[in-house]
Amino acid sequence: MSGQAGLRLAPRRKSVSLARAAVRNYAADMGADLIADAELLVSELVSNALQHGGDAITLKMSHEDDGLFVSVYDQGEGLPRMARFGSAPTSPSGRGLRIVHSVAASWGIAVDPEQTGKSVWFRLGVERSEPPVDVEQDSARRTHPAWMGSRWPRKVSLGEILDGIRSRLGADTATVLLVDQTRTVLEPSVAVGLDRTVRRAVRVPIGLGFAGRVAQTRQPIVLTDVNSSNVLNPVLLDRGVRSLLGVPIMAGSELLGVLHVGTFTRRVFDSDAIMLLSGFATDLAQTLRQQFIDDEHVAALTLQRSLLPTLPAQRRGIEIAARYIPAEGDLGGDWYDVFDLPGNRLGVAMGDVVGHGLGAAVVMGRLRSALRAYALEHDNPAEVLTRLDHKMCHFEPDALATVIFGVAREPFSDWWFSSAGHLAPLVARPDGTSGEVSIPIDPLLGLDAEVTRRTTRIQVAAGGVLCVFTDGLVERRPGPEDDDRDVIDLNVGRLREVLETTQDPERVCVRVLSDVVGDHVTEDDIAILVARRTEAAAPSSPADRSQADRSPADRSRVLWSD
Amino acid sequence: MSTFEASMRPDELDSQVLHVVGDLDLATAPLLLARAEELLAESQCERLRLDLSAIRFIDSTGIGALIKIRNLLLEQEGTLVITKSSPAVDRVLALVGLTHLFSSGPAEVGPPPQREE
Repeated sequence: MSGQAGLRLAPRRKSVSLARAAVRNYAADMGADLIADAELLVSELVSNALQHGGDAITLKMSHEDDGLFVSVYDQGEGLPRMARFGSAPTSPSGRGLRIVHSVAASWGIAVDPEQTGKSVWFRLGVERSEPPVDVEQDSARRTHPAWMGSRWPRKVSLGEILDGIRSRLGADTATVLLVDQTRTVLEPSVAVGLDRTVRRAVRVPIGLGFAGRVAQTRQPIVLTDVNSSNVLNPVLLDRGVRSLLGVPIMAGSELLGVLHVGTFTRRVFDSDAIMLLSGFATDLAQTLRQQFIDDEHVAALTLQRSLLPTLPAQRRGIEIAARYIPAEGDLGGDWYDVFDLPGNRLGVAMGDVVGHGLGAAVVMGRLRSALRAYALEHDNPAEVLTRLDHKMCHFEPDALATVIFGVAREPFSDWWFSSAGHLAPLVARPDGTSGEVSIPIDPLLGLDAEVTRRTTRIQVAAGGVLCVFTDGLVERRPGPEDDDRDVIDLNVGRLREVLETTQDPERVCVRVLSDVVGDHVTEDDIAILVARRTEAAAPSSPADRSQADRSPADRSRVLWSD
Repeated sequence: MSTFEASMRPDELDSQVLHVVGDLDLATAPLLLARAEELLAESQCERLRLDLSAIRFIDSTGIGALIKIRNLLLEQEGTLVITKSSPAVDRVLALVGLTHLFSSGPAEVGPPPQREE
């Protein structure tokens, strides 16, 4: 019993039992337990391939040391995912990979960039942490030159990997940015050689700035002379990065993110450097994938994703950018949310649950979804917050939160806001002036469910900017140069200055985080949301309006007055 | 090729039990599901009993079929009970953490308590 065996499987359901029979025969003398495991896992992989993959399915088996190695290749583009952690126990599907994950000594997904499709493999019988990657030494696997898996042992952190990349490239900084869940923005994931505030502040829209262009073109880009015209983030300039080399991180045809290295002295990155960094990016993609499917990571990611807000697709007449920075080393209770509502309306919410840690974050998550639900049922923001307050006083009697919630309809000139103990928004006008909006601040949520809440109209001129934020942005401990007493005024002043001089919401966020937050350690969560009415906003035609007004979802719009 | 058979038989206590034999996977799960739907259409049974002791192999697709049948029964306020199991079934149910879902314990569905006014 030596060598490997392969089998082409027809795209029929019965192929599942054929595959099991093949594995049973191949592993006949490896012990009943191993055979049972192998049958189960191969059944899972072939079922997945039949249901989600393409037509050509190939089963390969080989003996490895004392164990069994099996791979199932299919032509499907999508990569298999494990069921979400905590998914409904009564959901009939999505458990296959969980079984593979529980039973296999190791497993993974291999993508060959030269051809479509992917292989999912598992190994049984040997405890090893590293999947097979050494292509040169394994002639049996030459047909699959890009075995996915890590060149690094699995438990090495991304930071350590980046450190290695930085030193191999002889660079001063190394950064990984990952595509966020909206697929429009790169979020910094890990950086070495840059301080932590920089790491957090720079969120790059795909297509803009250096990393944004690498992501858009999906090609390596060399930037020998960094300056403000080719790098979006002013803070990167401040750190004295002179030259940059960036490559896309790809998994098959999917863009995962961008890897770039920078030097503090001018350097012309040559083709060897590009090749080297591209190679690292390929390995990194595999590591990221591996992490992605790692059980713990799935759980953390699910939690994080359910708590972190997403921005809706860009809509006509308004541009929105937002940031959330958790307090140093802690999960926080701040959130912001932007969502579409029936009747062509947009809802914007921001809040701050008093307290820190997982408890506050969990309450925040509940408030966030409850607010969305009430907003769907009630048009008046004051009514929405009244219901939310009622719900919170009943179900979370120990919690307190500030919330501000506003609703507007295209062209977003009139906003209807209600504030429960939350700081009033700032509005910047196109003439370069700005001011705090005068709205009544009603009591925070969680104090008294019977309190009367009010809704106020806020007008935003075309080209004007609306900014909501949490107190963490302005109430930070003053720096050595700041006067203790006036720190809030000072920070609000800085914030207004940015709003008055900067148009693009993304740039506003970047500048606010560098000018107002700077290098301070964030002791409290910070959330900021910036919405700008685009000047090009054409008022919707009367036909559109009457159409919208007649839709059933729109029957009872705007019943309150300010 | 996998063998598969699902048929109603009386058990020792003379109540009807759906007896499943063979491999329960992607190819055979639809057969079991169809058989169960047939039975449920024939009679509004409150409790479907399954004898899985002759199941040689089951994977997550097979478990999925059991869950679908259970969900069907719950819709008509019935329950699914596995009266007899096999080592293969026990193992995979344990792997996916669903052993409790099919135990024969009391899982009667009643009306929710009324709100007092």
